[in-house]
Amino acid sequence: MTQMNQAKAKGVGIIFVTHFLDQVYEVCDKITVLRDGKLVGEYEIKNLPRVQLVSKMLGKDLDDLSDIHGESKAYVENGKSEPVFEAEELASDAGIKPFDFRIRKGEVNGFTGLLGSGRSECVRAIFGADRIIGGTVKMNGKKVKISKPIDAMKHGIGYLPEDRKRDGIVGDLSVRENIILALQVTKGFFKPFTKAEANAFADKYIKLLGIKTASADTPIKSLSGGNQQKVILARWLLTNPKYLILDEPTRGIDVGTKIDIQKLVLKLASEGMSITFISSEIDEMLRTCSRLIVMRDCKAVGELSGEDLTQNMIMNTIAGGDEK
Amino acid sequence: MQSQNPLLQNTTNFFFKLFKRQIFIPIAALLLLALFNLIADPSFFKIALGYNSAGDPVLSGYLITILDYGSELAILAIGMTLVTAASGGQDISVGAAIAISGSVVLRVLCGTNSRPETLQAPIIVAFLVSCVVAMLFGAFNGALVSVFKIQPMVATLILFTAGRSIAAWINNNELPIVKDATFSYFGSFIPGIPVPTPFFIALACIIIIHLALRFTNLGLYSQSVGINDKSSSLNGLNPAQIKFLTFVILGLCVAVAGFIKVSRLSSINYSVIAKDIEMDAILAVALGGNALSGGKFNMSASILGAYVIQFLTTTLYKFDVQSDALSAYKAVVVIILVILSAPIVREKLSSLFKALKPRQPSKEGV
Repeated sequence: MTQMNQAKAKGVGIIFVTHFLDQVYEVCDKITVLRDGKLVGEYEIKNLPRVQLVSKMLGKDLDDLSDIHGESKAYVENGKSEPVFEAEELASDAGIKPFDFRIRKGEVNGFTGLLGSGRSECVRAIFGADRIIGGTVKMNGKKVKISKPIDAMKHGIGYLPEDRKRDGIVGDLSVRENIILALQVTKGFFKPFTKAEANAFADKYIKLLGIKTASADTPIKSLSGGNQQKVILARWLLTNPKYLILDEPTRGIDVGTKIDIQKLVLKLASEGMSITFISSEIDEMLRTCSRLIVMRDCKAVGELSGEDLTQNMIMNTIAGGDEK
Repeated sequence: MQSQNPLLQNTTNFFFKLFKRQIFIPIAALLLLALFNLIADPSFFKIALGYNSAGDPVLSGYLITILDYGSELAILAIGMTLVTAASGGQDISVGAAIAISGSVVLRVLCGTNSRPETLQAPIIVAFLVSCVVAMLFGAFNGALVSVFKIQPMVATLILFTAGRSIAAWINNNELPIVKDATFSYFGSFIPGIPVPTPFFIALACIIIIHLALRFTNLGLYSQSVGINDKSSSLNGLNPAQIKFLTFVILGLCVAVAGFIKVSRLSSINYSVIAKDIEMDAILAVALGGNALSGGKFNMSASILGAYVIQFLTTTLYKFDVQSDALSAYKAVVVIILVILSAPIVREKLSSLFKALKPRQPSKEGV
């Protein structure tokens, strides 16, 4: 970033292509917005507030998102629904301190904190993705044992990993195979889906989530990042989870898909699914989560909900302002 | 721009589609070899019905030889394809493992005496024992690869080196000879049926593997693990278990191929039996258009690939190429295959085909 600014000061012309709006505002003077392969327009950065830029990129306004948000929050707060997942003193060998965690039916919660604060390790421990070395876990009030991902899946937990390329997609397999994979594994080795079943599943979710792909046979690696992420999302939605963990589902994808995913999260929660939503962009979490757990140095250092859910409070808690 | 010649468009479309299909590669190789033989000497394709020394009708000719010896290779290619897909590497110990399982068959049939007048155990028992032993050795390789995470070629190097000595040790370094006629049927002909028995055995294996791929998730799981084992394990799969399983299945294929091998001779030669067969089996997988780095596979293409390799070997023998020079010729095939399957070349070729394909008239006008 500083190098780009230095180059700029020297008079080098730069064309900068990015998803990240922060970087645009930091470096650029002029912006050209493209949508669906067509030119939307060219703008001076200083005359274009961020909200307007996003709505130009989307071709629609952001307002409808905040509407849904109000509804889902109401659902949780009125309902005081029963806990779906509870963990006590859960610890894995990935280096996090033992932690307690619970999530209620229809709740959207988030883990926040700086990179390396242990938020991903927490959800990996919940899913059994790392080796579990201690703690007890309850699903729907009943004690269960989750030591590998398949255990978590059988109890109705889904997990969209942080690193889509490394942990999410199976690159050479088709979109269809990627969609059915998790449900197929849960069903078992000797019970493969028929071609017709697999096709029906794939077509349903390609339509439902608006996945842009040439066909269900296309290898997933040839899709754009946002569409790959939708396929992974479809994979877990197909398993009809009670508790869905989304670790950075909006990272590295276009703004339109980001909004789609946030809307989907709120819609699913309003239908009664419990969701953990993790994002590096705090405003995304503020928009979707009704409760935030703040992490620092592999430890939960605070829990924010209701009135406390503001950018300032989060920053303060991350920085450790309350401990002074 | 309208295309003037719909026929031309259809044929290029057809070839474009065929080229995209994986099985195109072994089919093209097969056609090429057949064409070569047709021009060089059409008698290559002659099949004669004669009678063997026992007075039973048998078919003979180069094509029958290919069908006969290609079948062992096809059986091995089945297991090798699965191992390649799941582990991204190859088992180079199959030749040595065939020596072991063949030796086990003879040991069980002959008992303590190496030249018995009668069989000391039923043939089926000998076969089953050899299956168990070969699967155990497969499990050994599988454990090295899946649990200890050793590169498959390096892991199987152990058995590759030690296998033939183990095979000799099983029979106290003697060369047992089975005099029972029934035992020789499996490697030659069943009286009254003029088609070589190994072909029927291979056919059974091919049917079984296709049923297995159809009615279990063996295909999906092994491909998934081979492409991305991190993702696979986060989807509830156990990559180690699946890699292990493919090696055990290859062990079973080895036992079947080994059984055919010793049945052909009714005896064994520890240092020569199934020599270099691992290279042919790997080549069959590659000729089938499967990436040797693992992942997606096409079983039918591998099996066809095995018969094409045998076609090549038989062609070379026919033109009196010395057996030690064979590998030089096969190396040429390997070079062509490896270059053709390199991503950079495939991209170039496929864009070349796209350029050949007449442009569809645009619907929107411009």
